[in-house]
Amino acid sequence: MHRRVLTALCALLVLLPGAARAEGWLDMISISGLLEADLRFDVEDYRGPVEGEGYRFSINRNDAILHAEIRPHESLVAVFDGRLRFYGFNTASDLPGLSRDRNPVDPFSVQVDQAYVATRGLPWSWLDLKAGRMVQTWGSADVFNQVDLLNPHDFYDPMDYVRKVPNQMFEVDVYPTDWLTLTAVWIPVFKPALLPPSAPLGFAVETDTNGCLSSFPAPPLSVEDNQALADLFASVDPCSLNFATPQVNLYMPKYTFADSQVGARAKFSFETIDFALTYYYGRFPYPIAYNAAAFANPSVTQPGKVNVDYVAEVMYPRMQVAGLDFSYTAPWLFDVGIVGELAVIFPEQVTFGLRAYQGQAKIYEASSVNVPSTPFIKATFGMDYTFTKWLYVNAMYLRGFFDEFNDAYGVHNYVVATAELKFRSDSLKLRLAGILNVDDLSNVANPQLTWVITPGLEALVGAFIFGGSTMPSNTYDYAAREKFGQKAAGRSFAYLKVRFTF
Amino acid sequence: MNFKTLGLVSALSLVAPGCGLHSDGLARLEELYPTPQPVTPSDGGTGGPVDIGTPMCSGYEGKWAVRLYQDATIAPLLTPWKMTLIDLFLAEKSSSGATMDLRFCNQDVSIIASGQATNLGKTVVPAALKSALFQTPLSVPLPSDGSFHAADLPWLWGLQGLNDPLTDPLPNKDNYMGDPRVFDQDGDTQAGVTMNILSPPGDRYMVRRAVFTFEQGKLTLDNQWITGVLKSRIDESALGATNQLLLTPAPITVNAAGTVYQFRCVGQTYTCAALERDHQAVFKDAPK
Repeated sequence: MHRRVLTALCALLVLLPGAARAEGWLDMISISGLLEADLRFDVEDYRGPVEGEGYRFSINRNDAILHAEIRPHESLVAVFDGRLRFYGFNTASDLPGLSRDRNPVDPFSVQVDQAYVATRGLPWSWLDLKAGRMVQTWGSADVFNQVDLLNPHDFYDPMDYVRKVPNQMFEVDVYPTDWLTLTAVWIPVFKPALLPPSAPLGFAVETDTNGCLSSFPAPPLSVEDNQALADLFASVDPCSLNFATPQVNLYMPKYTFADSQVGARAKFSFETIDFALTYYYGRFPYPIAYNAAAFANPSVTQPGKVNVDYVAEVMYPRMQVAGLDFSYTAPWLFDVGIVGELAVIFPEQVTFGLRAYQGQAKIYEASSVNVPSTPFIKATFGMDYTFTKWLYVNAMYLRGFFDEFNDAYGVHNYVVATAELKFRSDSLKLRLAGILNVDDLSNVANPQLTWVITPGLEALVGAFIFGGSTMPSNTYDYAAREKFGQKAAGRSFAYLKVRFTF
Repeated sequence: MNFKTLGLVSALSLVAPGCGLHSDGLARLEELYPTPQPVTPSDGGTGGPVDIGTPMCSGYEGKWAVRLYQDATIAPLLTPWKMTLIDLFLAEKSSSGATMDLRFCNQDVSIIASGQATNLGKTVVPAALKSALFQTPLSVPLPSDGSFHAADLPWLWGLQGLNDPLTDPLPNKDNYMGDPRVFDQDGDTQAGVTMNILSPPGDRYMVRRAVFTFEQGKLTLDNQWITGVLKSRIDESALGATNQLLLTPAPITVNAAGTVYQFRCVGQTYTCAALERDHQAVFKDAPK
């Protein structure tokens, strides 16, 4: 399948210029892109699924990204964003795997981020229409947009935090005046956010050096209920329990009208201030714990041992969001840039349920409201300033990280800061970025040095370092895990990238 | 539509969908793993006529079917669950006339958790234990004044030779080895007695002590019933188990209210098997 897509893509790239010449379309096509080599190395060995595994290459990737716009005439544009990604790790595990084709040895994927058509000023001058596969960003802040809900993030690679999951949507833009833009978007089918490969560790049990159960992650129940759950196993020798890898299923919405999403925005633009009022109805794109069931059965193959299977479901609760965002340049304060976003979220109530079974018998049952229906606020406020031509600083306060939804974990507070220093006629850039969770003091730091070798070509070295405890302060408290410390956040790594843009 | 109406509709449309929605994880679990219907009691709960033979009782003389009905709670977890514990006996006055000897037939247990019957902690008495307990009657002294009451009668399973049968701490899995007070009462080579547990499934090797107080009883004029208030205290201790989850017996607390003893006169040929099968119907019309 991949090969077919790749062939079609190549054929398109080869034939397109020819067709363009034949039709005289060459001037109507603009192409840009990027080639990037990305090598990463895990710099610790205790945050992964297996203690002691680390200090090795974790990513060895090459991306070829193509952005193409075709404008047959002023009122029509077609946009294509594609990515050919080679993963760089052999997946062949046997000799026949080396004898079929190159894919096992050199696996790749073709990803299309955008493919849509847009009309401008048709049929009326005050109307734009868009349809197709799009990636949209609403809001004024840098990256941490609380009102940006149309496309969930693609956190498969947590370092590439601006990437999003594309979706098919229909958009109408209306321009009643030159300072007001009205936008309405309909997204028929919901898509969830992508999570880093480390995410399942949030459900993993902890074992000691003998492989015996030492703890399991607290579900979103009260501390008392979680204590009672633990007591079920307290009288059992932990070494007699065979805990299987937890199975976490997605409870997905149906493909119905009621489960589609809509967004609306009124955007006002004035001289020094832009602001927008937004509304969104849809679903929270990050998984919320919904239910879980544990099954304990005597092992058939290992007498005296008890097999424990844990099956959980996560879901994507519905929500309505009323938003406000603005960006303001303060002429009275050295032209400091000020941005803010405020989202008032009206969530669907989610009650978490848990059961434990011994054989066919239900031996434990508990439930607790995981997400109350009470409205809550997520917000971002930030400032940025260019002090000198070689120093730029951006600082933000965040109420609520991307994946926080006022569930039993709560909505936390963060400080995000970035300083960028430029040297040698901007050919050398040092960026120091970090996020601090003010509530649990876990953090992530991202220092990066960029060398612009020649315009269009740059090399980057840096590190992505997580700080905080991997273990919760209270094993019975769902909220006690540290945001960036927990294993589910991922591993610390260093990286080298070489990037060519055209 | 004026602006006020439009504003109201907009506000309602904004708030209403968020407020009314609810996803219930427990309901979803029930959808995924439906709770089995409660197990029907072995006696079937029939209310129809039962054959108790030809009852011929005079005073306390004669043969009696006995039910010790104990309304209790059991706490396998933090929250106590409702439990009904029914000990069934056949009783006859001893040859000396000093005691009423109760010979064990069966113990019927039902547990209700969250409004539903559960098998968690539910015990079944194996045939060997029934037989062993039948051999050693629980003797209720009969006062010489013709009344019916007795206090602090210990009924021991798997135990003998206690200094104070009412209060001695029970041996446990850590200290029972070599303790002469623990004996294999049901002859199955396991210490103490063996009880079968439905959930978590397995056998528990244990000792047990119940202490009964029969409050003043009433003998009906037709000599067909003896009934009264029962006080009961139960201690259990596990010595071993086939399933490690069974090593900690859940504490049982018997409630004073609703705990009664009931004797019904039955025919001389009446058997334990009949009592086990029909006890609900047999005691359905017991005087309050």
